[in-house]
Amino acid sequence: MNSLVLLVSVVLTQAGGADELGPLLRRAHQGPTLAEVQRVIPQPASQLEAIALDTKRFGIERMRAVDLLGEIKAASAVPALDSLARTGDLASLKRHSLEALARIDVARAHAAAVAMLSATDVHVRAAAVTLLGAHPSAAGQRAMERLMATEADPVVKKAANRSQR
Amino acid sequence: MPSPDAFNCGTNGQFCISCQAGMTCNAGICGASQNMMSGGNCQSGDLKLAEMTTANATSVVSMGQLQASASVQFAGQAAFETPTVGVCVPNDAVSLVVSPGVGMNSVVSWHLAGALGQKVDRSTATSWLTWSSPGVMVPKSPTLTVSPGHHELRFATTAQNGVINPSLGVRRGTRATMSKITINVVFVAGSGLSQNDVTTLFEGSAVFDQVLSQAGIEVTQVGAGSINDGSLTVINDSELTRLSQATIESLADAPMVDGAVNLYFLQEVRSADAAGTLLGQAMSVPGMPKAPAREGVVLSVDAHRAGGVIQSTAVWTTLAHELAHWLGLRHTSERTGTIHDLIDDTPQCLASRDTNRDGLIAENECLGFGSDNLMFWTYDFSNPHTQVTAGQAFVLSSALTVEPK
Repeated sequence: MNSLVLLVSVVLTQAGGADELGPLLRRAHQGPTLAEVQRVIPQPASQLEAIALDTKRFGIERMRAVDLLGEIKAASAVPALDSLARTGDLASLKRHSLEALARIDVARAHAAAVAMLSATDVHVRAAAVTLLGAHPSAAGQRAMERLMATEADPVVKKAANRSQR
Repeated sequence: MPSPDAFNCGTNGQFCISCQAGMTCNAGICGASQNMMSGGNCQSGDLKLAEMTTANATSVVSMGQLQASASVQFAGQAAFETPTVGVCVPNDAVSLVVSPGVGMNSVVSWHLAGALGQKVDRSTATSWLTWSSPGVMVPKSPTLTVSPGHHELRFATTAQNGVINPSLGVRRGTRATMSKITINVVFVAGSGLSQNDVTTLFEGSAVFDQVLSQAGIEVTQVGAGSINDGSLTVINDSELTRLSQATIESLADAPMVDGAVNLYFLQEVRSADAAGTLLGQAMSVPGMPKAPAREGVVLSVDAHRAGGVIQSTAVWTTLAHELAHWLGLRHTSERTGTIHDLIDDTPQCLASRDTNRDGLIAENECLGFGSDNLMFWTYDFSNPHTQVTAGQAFVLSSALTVEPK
């Protein structure tokens, strides 16, 4: 958790212009496309990362920022996404971060997913199971088998069944 | 204008001002009286809503199973349409909602008798969306009101021989200047709401009350319940039927209110298309109580958290906008500035105001042209838009689930 706090302060110091994106990201009905964001800030990775990490911002802004980081495959945001996937303060943010991470760095996403198989939120566990199913590996398979030996939640079981097809 | 011959006419189909005994003059046409509460130009074989529903109340009537087999074009695309169903709308109808039932590929077309007397224009997606998708409600404005008498409804789907189970919601009685509505708050297991959150949740509900009060509507009763199925706390908007079919356990201290609008609190609602995470969504526009997948509003709880705390004003801003959709209001102007609602007194923001040419009419481009209206196509809950026009208030106070106070 301390590393996440440090990451936040570093990123917030580096990223200006994040305030301009806030209203766009919390827009009702539909979030902005990447093109809309880039019209405001052509290279938005650091600003999006700052928003994603800023716990004072609305969850909707952070989730959409994370989605966009995945879309632009922002390699610089991998440590932040990894931290958010593991220790993010919102269950939704953990799921979104895991999905975004998988678009940028599969190995890192894989490791985070294995760790998140023990998450308390069933949908985070299910997202981790889905990710491991989409990117199969021996380590992932072993972790899944350990989980499924004791997993009782139908949401996670369904995700596991789906990913094994 | 009716010809002099039409006075005291006695034949079906002639213009009239009055008719012989046993017939009534409705919208200028003599017709056999179904009963005192039926429109005069109704036809034998019509579904007689006056007999199927309760006076001074809202009722939902099933129209039975209809098979879509006739080829038809919708916005240039092939579809299949059911036979026409005749419906006799009573004289005391305040509002009428047509729901094509479960299945987003079901669409509705209809012919309105009486004052409107026109078929829905379905030649383009834009013209069709303006009128009907995905459900239909009248009144749409103070000038496009429900007319009593004969109506014809047809339903279409993209599936040949597809079976549609449409329903009709009818509110009978009077529209009042002071009205009431009841709501149920429904918490889905896994939404992450703590006891503290629930306490905080209602602190910012003033914005919701303020919006409704502009239409003379007051929330007079709030029920509460929970859904103990964690699989439903993260769902796509294409799965809302599952939510509305889930068992709700009523809270002992605030039992669920029958027929009220349900406000569902989930961890996250995701759009099945590119829109991603949604702040909230009306389950139908307009909605219909007790109709599967159309009975309320859903809200993403995590989207409304900041600093670890549920942001109550933001929550109720989203709920106010989505509830207004559910009660029948459309956006004053849609995102491109080319589609607008049918209400005369709502400001329109035209595409010509898209000064930065990004294809969207933004809030700052529509200042003075509707961006401060509750139903502008987008809103920022950090700066809630709460303006409701008289025309919008008319529609809101006519909605199915609103009752005279």
